[in-house]
Amino acid sequence: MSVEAERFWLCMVGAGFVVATLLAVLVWILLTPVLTPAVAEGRFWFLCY
Amino acid sequence: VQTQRQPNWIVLMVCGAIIVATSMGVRQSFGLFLSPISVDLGIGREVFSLTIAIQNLCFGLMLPLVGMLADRFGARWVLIVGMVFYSLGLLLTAQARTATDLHLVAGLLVGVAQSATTFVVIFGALAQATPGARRSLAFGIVTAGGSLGMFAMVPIAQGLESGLGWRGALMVLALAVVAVILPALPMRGGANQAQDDQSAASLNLALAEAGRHRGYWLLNAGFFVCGFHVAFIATHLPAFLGDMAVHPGTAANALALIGLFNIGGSYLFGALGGRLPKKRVLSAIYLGRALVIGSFVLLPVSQFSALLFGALIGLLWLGTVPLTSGIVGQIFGVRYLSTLYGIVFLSHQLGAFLGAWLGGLAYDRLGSYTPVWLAAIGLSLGAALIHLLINDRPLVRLQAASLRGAA
Repeated sequence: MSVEAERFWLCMVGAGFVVATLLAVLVWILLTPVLTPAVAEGRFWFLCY
Repeated sequence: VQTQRQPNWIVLMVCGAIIVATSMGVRQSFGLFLSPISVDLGIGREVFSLTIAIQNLCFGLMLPLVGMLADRFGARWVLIVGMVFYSLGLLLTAQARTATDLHLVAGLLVGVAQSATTFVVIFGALAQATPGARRSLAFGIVTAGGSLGMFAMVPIAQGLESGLGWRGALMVLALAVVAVILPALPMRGGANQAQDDQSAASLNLALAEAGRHRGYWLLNAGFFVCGFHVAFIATHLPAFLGDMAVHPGTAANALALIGLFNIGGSYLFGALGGRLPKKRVLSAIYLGRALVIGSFVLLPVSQFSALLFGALIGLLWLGTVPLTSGIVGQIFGVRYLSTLYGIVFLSHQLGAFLGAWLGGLAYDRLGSYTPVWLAAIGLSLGAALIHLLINDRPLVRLQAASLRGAA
């Protein structure tokens, strides 16, 4: 794969991440009322991996 | 010696990111099922908590073994078998009726299967296909994929649970897990070896070399601290904020910010590791954690400081993953990376166990999280120092191979 092609595909991967992250943020905002009680009850955690 | 043609590294990187996003995302959402499962089966919350503890124990303990299997037989088969059992475990959990069912399937089976579907296996195969200069970036992007999965899957799982009930939600998650067998197909590893690599001739030799290398033990110690931090903060931050009279909604948003900024941090530090010495970047991360935690605990806690803490600590959350695994590959070569990184990952999980447990113990005994926050700061400063002491030069054998290549 040429350097230009590699750069292009890496940019595509980056753009995909940005779009997926924005969508995830949207879902978070929409579901905040559902998630808040889960946090309050200690049912929600970011373990480590 | 390259014995088999490898797929393009960017393809493998994207496949790896999809796999860990799904695997880690589903793992992350287990806590959401605590209450509905406990209520529906008429069991105490401690029963499901024990299930999760068994799951995490099996996950951590199996990592070196799955690393060895991946190095011996290739990542593809380890991943496929892992996905099948992971999915089966979720389906069987959806049929659980008793506490024993939960312990055996959601605890033992899912925990073991999860270990075969994560970074340890992916990184080994990816490293063998990726040019040395790009490895840190590739590891960073896969880690960012896992971070994105952890961030995105929680609300999805919660939505599924609200709409379908916990049994239906687990079945959908089982389908999601089995679907990522597809991106596992290009993953090879095992008998392959990167063209720029001269790793140890055998697994036993690789283990012996690592055992004699002081830097390897320092990496284990550093990653132990990482596990301590993330498990303590993730488990106890909501309760700590509650004690400080911060609204539960703020705690939820602080955790969400950790997840969100973790995506960018994983990528950022992976990319930085390709340009700067990885051990110095790691040292800076731990120093940054000490500063962020210290400022958060010592200054008055407010809604703003909680959210700022979530964003900053999130940025420093899993950036350690591509850097730590990158140093292992840099010193010892990539042929047995899964095994060697699997052992380091086990140290992380031991730290995570202690961080989660000591937080609760300290609070019950002393009525305050302060001693553990202070321990977290001290450990952070220690980790910042020990990473600077690591001799991260490739082993002499690798240097000789590199010189031969240059000649």
